[in-house]
Amino acid sequence: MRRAICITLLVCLGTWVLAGQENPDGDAKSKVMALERLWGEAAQMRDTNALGSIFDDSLTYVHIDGRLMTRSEVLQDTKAASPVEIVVESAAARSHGNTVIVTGVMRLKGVEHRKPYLLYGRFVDTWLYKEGRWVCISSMTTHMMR
Amino acid sequence: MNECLTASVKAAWDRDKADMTARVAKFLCVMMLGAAAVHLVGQSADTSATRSRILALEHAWNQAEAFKDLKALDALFDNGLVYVDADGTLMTKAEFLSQVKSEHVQQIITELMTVQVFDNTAIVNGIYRSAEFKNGKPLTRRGRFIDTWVYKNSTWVCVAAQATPVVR
Repeated sequence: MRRAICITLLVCLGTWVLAGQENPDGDAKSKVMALERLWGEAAQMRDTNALGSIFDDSLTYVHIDGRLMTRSEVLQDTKAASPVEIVVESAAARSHGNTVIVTGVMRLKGVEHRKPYLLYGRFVDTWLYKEGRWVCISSMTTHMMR
Repeated sequence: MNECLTASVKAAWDRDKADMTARVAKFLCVMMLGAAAVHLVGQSADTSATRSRILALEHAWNQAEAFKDLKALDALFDNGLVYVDADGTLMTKAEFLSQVKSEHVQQIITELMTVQVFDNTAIVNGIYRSAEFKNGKPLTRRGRFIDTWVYKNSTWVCVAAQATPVVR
C-alpha cells in the first residue's frame, strides 16, 4: 500500500514538473518549417485530413482577402476552392520557447471565374507546442503589391 | 495463553495498521482531488485575468501609438518583434518605432477584439480604425489584425503583429 502511495505521489510530482517545462526539443524551428512545407503541399492537393492535423481546433485564420475564418471554415474553403499553385518564396522562423513565429512570402497562382490570377502575400503563422506536437494557432496573409 | 494474547494483539495491531494506511490513502486522494480542483479554478481565473491584461496592453498600444510614446511602445514589444503592415511591408521593432515617430496618426480605435489564451501565449484578433493625416488630407483606414503575445521574463510582450485592409 505504502509503495502504491509513493508511486502515485512520484507520478503526480513528475507530471507537475513536466507540465511546467518548456518543449525540450531544441530543433523546434526546423520541425515547424517542415510543417509549413507540408501545409503548402496539403493545401495544393486539397488534403483536408493533413491540414486538419496541422491546425489547432481554435485556429484563428485571416485569408488574403481579409476574411476571418475558423478551422472548419478553412478546411471547407480548401475543399471547395479551385486548383491553386502555392509557392513559398521565402520563410523564416523565430522561436519563443513553446511558440514559434514563421514569416514569409508566398505566391498564389490560379484561375477563378475563368480569369487567371497571380497574388503575392506576406504571411505570419504562430505555432504552439501543445500536447506533444506542434500545431498552428493563428495564420494571416496580407496582400502585397508587386 | 500468552501466545494467544500476543497473536490477538498482533492481529489488532495489523488491523489498526491497515486501517491507518487506508485512511492515509483516502486523505491523500482527497488532498490530490482538492489540489486538482484548486488548480483548475485557478487556471480559469488566470485565463480570465490574462485576457483582461492583454486587452489592456492592446489599448495601451493604441494610446502610445497615437501619442508617439516610443518608450511605452518599446516596453510592449519583444526585441524580436515581426510587424507586417497593412500593405504587406515587413518591419523589425526598430523600423516600426521609427515609422510611428514619423507618421501622423491622430487616433486608433479598436472596434472588435477577441483574445485566446494558450498558457504562455495569447492570440488577439480584431478590427481597428485609424484616423491620420497624409499629405495634409485626413485619411481613415480600417483593417483586421492578429497580434501574438508571449509571457516572457514575467511580462507579456508582443512578438508578432500583422494587419490587412478590410473592405467596408
